[in-house]
Amino acid sequence: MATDLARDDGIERAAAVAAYRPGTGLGALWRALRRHRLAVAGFVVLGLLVFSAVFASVVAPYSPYLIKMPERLRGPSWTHPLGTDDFGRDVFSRIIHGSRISLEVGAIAVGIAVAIGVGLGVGAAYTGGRVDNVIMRAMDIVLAFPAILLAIGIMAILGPSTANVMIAIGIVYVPIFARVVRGSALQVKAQEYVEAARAMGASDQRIVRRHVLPGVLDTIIVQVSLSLAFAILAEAALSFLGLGTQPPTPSWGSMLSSGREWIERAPWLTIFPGVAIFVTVLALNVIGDGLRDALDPRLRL
Amino acid sequence: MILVLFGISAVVFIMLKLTPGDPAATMLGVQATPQELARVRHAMGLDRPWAAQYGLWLRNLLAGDFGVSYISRKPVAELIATRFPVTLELTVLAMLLAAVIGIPAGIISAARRYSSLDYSITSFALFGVSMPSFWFGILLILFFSLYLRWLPSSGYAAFDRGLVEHLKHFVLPALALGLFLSGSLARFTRSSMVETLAREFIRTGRAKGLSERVVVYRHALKNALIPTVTVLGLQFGFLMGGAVIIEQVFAFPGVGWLALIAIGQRDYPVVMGVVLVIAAVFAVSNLLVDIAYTWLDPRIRYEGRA
Repeated sequence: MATDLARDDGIERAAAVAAYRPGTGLGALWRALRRHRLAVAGFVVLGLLVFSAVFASVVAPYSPYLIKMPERLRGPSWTHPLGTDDFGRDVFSRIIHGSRISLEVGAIAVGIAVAIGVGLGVGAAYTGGRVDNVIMRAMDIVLAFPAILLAIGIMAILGPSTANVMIAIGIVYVPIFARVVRGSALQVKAQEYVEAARAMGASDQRIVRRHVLPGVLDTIIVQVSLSLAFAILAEAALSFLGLGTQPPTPSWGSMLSSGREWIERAPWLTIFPGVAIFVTVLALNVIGDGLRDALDPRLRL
Repeated sequence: MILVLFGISAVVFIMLKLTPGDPAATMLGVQATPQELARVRHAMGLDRPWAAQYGLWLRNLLAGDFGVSYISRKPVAELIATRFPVTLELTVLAMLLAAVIGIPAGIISAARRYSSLDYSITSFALFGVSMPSFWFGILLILFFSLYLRWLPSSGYAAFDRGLVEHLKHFVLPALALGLFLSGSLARFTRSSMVETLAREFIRTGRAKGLSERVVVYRHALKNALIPTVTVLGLQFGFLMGGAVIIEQVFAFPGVGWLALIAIGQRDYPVVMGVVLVIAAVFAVSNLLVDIAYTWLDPRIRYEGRA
């Protein structure tokens, strides 16, 4: 899937943001973002998704595993708003529970990428010299693989499971964070206030924690929103290919894949899980656009 | 460049080594005696250190030997070579479609900024980059194959079944694969055009009385398209990665289809062969883009080339 472009595009967007640093805090960012109507809508949708994921068992009318063979492959109705699947399970309930998998995978995968990537990026920028060179060349090599292909390769080694999807997507996204953070960290490092802190005898650790990390925060935030969109798409794609979350666990990707068998008799099995993925990714992309505009007014087009 | 190719091969080798199972045991089957196992392991060089194994593997690779499939016992290079053209054609067609849709959409959008046409194009582009390609593919099948019955829902037709039949099978997969890129190209072209239209020479052009048409389509377009062409080129390898998924949706016999079946059978030499080939194509296409870029924009030709 060409979500890789998001990866590439993300570097450019985040780099553009990094180049311009208005020195705003999170409060100012939020105020700027509030004016962006689409981004606000994105946040509302994302909020609803998070709510339904956290309270899935309350929101969903049925258990996602409840099998009722007599009611299999029923179309949308009052009792089953999005119909039932080939085991008579309620599609709406499965989609609600599926949001939990998608958001969990997204959050943990991006968390892994941020933790390792930020560490490597700050480390490379701060140490410089050979360490920097070795780290960044290694990142270039990982980036030389199309993201989804590398994720598929890693899944082939690790074997299919939801946890492994998190690891695979996390690894694929490490270089983006390392690169973007390194760029910002180099800029922050050259600032006078960092020099002043060093002159006052601040330790390396303190400088990184108090000055460098807060300085790269804007960049990380933009990249996180874009990466989440990719991670959710990738989880869906891997599960669709049968390499990710395994049935009967409800994941949007695997629901799409098993629904394909019934595409003529029960098209709702393939339509609704796709809508769920689409809406989630759309919300995250809109938030990403909003963040970029809020952080870099020059790019507002 | 050489370094990147080298790095790719090293990563693929490590992934191959990390795959579960012993290749010798896989080849011999469960009834192999320990002596037989040791002999085959020695013959395959599996008892040597990793570095030596890598050297051997790389040398074979350069000679076109990608190893042998665990399942079919056929050379991996041969398996890939027969399916690669299908993936390549799909990728090229998807890219052409994306360029033909995305670039003009972006230009029109920028030329009529803030018009309702602009808003519809930017929303279309946003939808394009948010829609999972495999789901879009399924929707295309639902509508064009199952409902309208215009196009085949899956499979592939070789050239000998006629050009029309051949292309008919490519339409839906190429659309599904190209959707994301067309949306993304539209977004990129638009912002590149908008940026160019704000530059000094455009104002000069308008001031000296050139028509809006000439300003937009001659002067601005030329300058704005350079980065767009680059982006387009860089996406080639990414599209190939995406083809792996789209081939699955449309039961299309390319390398992605091959890799997916191989994963199911734990046929790791085939899986990693495909990963290696696509990554290499990606690296080479990026290099070609760099070369094309200096050719398109003479300002970048520096360092003793003047």
